Amino acid sequence: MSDDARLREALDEVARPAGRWRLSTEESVADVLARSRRQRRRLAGGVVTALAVVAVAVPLARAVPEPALPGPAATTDADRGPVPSLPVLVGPTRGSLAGDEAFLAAVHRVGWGAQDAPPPDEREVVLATDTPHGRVALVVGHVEDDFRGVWLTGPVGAAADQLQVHLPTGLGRSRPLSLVLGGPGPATLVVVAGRGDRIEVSPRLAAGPRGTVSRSYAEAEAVDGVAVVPVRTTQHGTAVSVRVLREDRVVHRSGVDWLGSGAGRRGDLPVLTALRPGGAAPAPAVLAAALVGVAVPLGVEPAALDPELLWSGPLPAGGRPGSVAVVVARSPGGALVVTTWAGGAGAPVACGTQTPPGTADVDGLTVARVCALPSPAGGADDERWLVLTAPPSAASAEVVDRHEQVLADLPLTGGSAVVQLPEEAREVRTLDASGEELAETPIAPPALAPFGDYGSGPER
Amino acid sequence: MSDQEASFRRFVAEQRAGSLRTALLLTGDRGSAEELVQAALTRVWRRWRRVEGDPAAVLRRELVRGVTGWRARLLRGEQVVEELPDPFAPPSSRPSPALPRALRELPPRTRAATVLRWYAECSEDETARALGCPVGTARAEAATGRESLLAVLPAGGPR
Repeated sequence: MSDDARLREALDEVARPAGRWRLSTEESVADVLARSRRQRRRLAGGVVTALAVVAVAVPLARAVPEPALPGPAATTDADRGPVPSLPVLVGPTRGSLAGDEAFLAAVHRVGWGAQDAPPPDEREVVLATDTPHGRVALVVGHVEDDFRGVWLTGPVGAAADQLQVHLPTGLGRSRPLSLVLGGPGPATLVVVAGRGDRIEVSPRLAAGPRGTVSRSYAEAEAVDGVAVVPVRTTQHGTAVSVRVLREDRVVHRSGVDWLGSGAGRRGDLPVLTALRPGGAAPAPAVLAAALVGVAVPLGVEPAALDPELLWSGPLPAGGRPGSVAVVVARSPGGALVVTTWAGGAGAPVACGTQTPPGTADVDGLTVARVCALPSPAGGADDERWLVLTAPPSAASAEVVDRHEQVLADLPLTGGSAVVQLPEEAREVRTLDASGEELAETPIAPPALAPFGDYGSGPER
Repeated sequence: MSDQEASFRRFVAEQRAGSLRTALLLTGDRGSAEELVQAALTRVWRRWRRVEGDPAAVLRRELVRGVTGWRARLLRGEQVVEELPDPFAPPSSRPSPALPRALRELPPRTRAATVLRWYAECSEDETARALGCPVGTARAEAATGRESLLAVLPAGGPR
């Protein structure tokens, strides 16, 4: 085979699509037309602004013969003051069914499940629309001073009394709300924001070869503050994040609710054996949470991350069986993703996730992380555990404070240990059998937010 | 639907699959590739009525502009090279990462010339028009890229 033919064949292999693209041809054309309309609107807005500036500036320039003094510095967000907080979840009804009076009247009367609902004539139908993945309505109202609401969903064309009730999370009169219908796989995202707000959607978190993580947001076409956008979900969740801009400033950023959440089965997850010795098999729920916890934000199934169990071991909590798992995965973008989870009888707890460069040597990784678990006795204080796993050549470790004073000496089994976190601990020094220092590793604090950079709601 | 829109739909149906594969080689990951193609198609659609000659050539030029133009240079950050191209695809054998890595390390214009010439099978003239440069320059860029990529291919074949 000639060099040219070899090269062509090799490039063809790299470019060969291994699955579906996000958009179908029809969706692609619709997206192009929508982008074109948005660009025309922006251009028109820009021309109007420019004409307005000229209309003001030209007479001023004629009236003032002397050179103008330098103007004030550019306006900053702080100068502009806070973004107005608007009631977002309000009538009149928006969406493709907004004109269907009979349907809207029936939606007013639909029960709200176990939740106490306001009288039907005091409810507001904020949204009623058909989407490629079903019919959805959002109904809100007050019970005394409590603002409440429900999503109602069903197949396209369903009568109001056939719609299923779902409770929204993060409900607030001035908070945008999102819901994903359909999936796993192709799905439809519905976002309800304020009239005039701009809506942007990020499909997933990207973790690049150098370990940097980022999200890119693309503007969605919004009609009256409502966007209906094709998205995808995995079996276990959705990587989508939505942000809403008002006056060119982000006022809200968050993940989205998905009705199919929890559809993924633990049996579909890869079976892993620990790379490092000396531990014990993790509780299946802990390992499953670790795998799903990194795969979902990256928008892939866990098996696609080539995951490995770096180490797992028991939590030495008296009277409470539990375990810790440290999982290493490879992000589609090329970074390593190292995640630590712990759990006992309750739900597993995320201790935190790091993204070293994709070139990092997995065998040489040292992870020192704090896991904060609810105290079995109840109360406000968490139990804080130090999870340490290092290469097996590490025979012991010193836990030191910020003054480099040794707080504790830890014997390691196969390079790893889980102990109660000494107060003021800042760093771990691992030592080999002869006492030679192998590495100094800062202790990473417990995670404050889930991996995925979804956003946590109101931004201002 | 207008005649213009209908003809554009046919054009997208014919050209999009190939353009996505070319864009995947130009950008390195599916998300960016799909965005590149959508942005290029949008620019083609905005002057669809005025397009003279082969609209596929215009689309190629817009794809190249999208990865080599000033806007791309300003926005260029870390290139995310996906070795797992689709989260919903069934597991499949993947090519060696050496070639995608070598492709990624080429300067954008060299990469574009190489992809157009040796993957999209464009002539030297077509490659030069897409890059907006003289034929000799396009030829030299494509040759440089070819040598770099051949150097990482195993002797017997692409794997």
